[in-house]
Amino acid sequence: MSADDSAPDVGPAGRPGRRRGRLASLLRGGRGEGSAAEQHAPAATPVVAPVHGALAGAIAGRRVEVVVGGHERAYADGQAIHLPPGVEGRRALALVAVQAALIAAGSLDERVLRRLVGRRRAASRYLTLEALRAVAVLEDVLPPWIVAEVRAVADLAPAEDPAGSLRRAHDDASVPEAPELLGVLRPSRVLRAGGGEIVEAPDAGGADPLAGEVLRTQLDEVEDEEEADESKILRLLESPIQQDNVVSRLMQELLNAGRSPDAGEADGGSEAPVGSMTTTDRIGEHGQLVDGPPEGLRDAPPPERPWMSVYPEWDHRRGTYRPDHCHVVEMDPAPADEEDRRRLEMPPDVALQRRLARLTMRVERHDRRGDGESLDLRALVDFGVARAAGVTPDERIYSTRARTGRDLGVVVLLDASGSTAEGTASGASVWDEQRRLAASLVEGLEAVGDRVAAYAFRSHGRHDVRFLRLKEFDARFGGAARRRLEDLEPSGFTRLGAAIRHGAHLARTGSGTSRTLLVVVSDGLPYEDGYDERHAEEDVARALAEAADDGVGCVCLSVGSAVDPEAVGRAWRDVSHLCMEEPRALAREVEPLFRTALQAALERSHGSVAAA
Amino acid sequence: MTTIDDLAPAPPDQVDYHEAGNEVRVFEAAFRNGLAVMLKGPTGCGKTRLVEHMAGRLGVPLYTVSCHEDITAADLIGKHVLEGAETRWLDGPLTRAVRDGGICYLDEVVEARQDATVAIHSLTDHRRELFVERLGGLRLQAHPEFQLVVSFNPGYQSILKDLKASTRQRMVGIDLGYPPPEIERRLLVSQAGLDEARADEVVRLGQALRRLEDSGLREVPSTRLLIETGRLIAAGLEPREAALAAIVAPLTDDLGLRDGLAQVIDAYL
Repeated sequence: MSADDSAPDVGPAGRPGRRRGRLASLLRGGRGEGSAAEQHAPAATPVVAPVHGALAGAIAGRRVEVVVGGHERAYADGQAIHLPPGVEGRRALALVAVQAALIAAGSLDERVLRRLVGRRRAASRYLTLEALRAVAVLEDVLPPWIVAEVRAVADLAPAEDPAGSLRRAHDDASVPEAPELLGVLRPSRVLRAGGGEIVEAPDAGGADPLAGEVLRTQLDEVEDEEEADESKILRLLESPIQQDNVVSRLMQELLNAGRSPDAGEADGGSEAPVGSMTTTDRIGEHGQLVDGPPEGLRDAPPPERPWMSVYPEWDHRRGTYRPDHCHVVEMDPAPADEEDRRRLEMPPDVALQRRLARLTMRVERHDRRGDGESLDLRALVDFGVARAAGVTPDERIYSTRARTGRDLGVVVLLDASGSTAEGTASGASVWDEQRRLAASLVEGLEAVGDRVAAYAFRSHGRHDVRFLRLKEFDARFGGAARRRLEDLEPSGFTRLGAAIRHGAHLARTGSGTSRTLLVVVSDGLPYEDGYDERHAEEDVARALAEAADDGVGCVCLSVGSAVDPEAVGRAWRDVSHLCMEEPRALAREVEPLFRTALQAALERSHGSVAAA
Repeated sequence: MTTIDDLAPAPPDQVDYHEAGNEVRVFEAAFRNGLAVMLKGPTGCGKTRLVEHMAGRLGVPLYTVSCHEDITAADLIGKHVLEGAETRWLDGPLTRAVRDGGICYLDEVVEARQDATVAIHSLTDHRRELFVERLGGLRLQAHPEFQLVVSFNPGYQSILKDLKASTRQRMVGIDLGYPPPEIERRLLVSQAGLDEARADEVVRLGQALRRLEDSGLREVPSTRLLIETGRLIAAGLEPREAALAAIVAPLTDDLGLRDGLAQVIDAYL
């Protein structure tokens, strides 16, 4: 009976890996998938308390979320601490500290809590005893005033372990019930969240191996009774002697038998599984298998280069990829008719180039320097000659090595979907502004000597994600490339996940540099029929993580975008996303933005095994 | 004219050091046997302090090189400089220590370029010799009182920056962690001048914040930060202000995280 599988995000304290940013995002109010608060949101929607998480984590010694609302007393479900609404200041600190201490001390041991489901008084006495034990265990960690407050609750020697507290909670009615400071123990919540500490492996030969399994499915029902008073039903079922009770087990099995599956399992049942890909070799009544391509194509020359790439798509509902789901085709954009041609002013952005020049350098050797690690022999000979000739010699006779070589490859992906045709606040169209941005970025990167390629992308269903070549790595961003950019008109949709996957692939394979970056110039919102909202957001987040794992940093740049920043944030998450009013604003931000993305990719690609 | 040669460092004054384990004995035994020492431990746990203490205790000069990515072998070994019509060789700190005896301490050695770390190989095995290529392949036999000490912070920055196994195997390792609470308490009393009760609060705060490492704080407060906090408090700052300035500000720029840490401070100070 291990921790619930549906909460993979929160590991035990000793989990290895890089955790940078998790706490930060937690404190900012962001919630990871499968967080405790999402799984069993009570009627009143709880709000993540932004700042208490650090205190809870500091005392519990692992990540613990703090949520406000849901109950009139504080309680912990093992993964999150729930604070009653309206509590502030030192009171809130004390409530958080006590619950975190209970988590740290292992008071939420599932095996013990199972014995307390539906027994309010015993649970309350257990809470008192465990709080005393927790402050004894954590005496060196907890603030002294909190230790003192908890000790003031009852003058009792703490038990050795949770099991000891459990025995005393059952036997000793003189133990006071937990006051408001200690909050309340809600065993069913802990068991449901699956966050209970497994102190040691469950005893295989235990008295009642079935009880846990059965109870878990009954928890919903028990919940209300737990609050009211001791559950009569469960008192009948579970005799206080708690030994092998055949009648109780039989009853529990019977009760359990006819129950419908719980809500979690039914998730997604309302929708047909879109991603099933089992039809490839089924050829129907009249179909037949042939060897090789059809007659007409047999003599056709093989394509010189792969023109179509196939990518999977992440299906968050099943937690698997849909294999070979998206087809990405690279093509040259069709030239526009002469009369339709419209010039787009794309003046160079010098400020941007200046900033770009400072990014990612490689070590190179430099001769004839005034100072350096070794003497430059050629300069030294010249020096000697000049002296001998009675001329003032050039004293720069050292050579040194410095970080001056360019070592950055960038793929710029321009969103050419229909949604970019909208106007910005200033009157220009998003499409024109983002084209200008892409142009100045490509021009700037080329000017400072970086490797850069540019593509526009759009999609018409998952089998037709188009990459329109504007400039390949080895091409110049000259008149022809600019004309291709000018000729483009927005249309189609944004299957962003596939675009990111292919863009990252191009960056990785085509740049030849050790640092690579994918810059998506788009509003950042994935949208297509059957590819939107949660599914698309999860897929984009996944694609970005894949890119980072492969060492490709990602950045999203938008100009004058009117989309909901929250929706964009759900897809792009920790990846840098900059929304500007006009393209010129990029110069100010570009350096830290690109640097962060490159650094994140470097860290992820080297530590990806441990990254949670 | 004062030349760089005249600036030979004297053995440093004895500095206080509270031994948490057996590190002083291991260090001294390694010194007596001409073995190089590798100090491992998080930022601010007292690595440099230990080296300074040992140099004073053993009565040898200390040459410290703070390594960074532009440190090359030439910076350690030496280079030619031009003096009048002549070029003159100028010893680097490592060569000085090898010739005259003393501890050469390469702080954060993984930050240095690869060629710099390879330069120390021949010094750290039975040969105890330094090759100076630029002096025509000169071999310098190390002075009996020469010792090489390197420090690094395991798991810091990218895993690319780890010490090569061939370098590691040539050294005696000393693992330093943050000292236990009793010693930190004593340090806060002796070095920051706090009273026992206040010192205890600051140490508890440090203990709590260090537990956040598992849940996302990239760097946890070091003993150094705690002592700095203590000094600010002793200088008259409110404890909360002192902790915000000395602990929270150095650890994070994230506003949300900062508020969270401020709450932890509120609970402790």
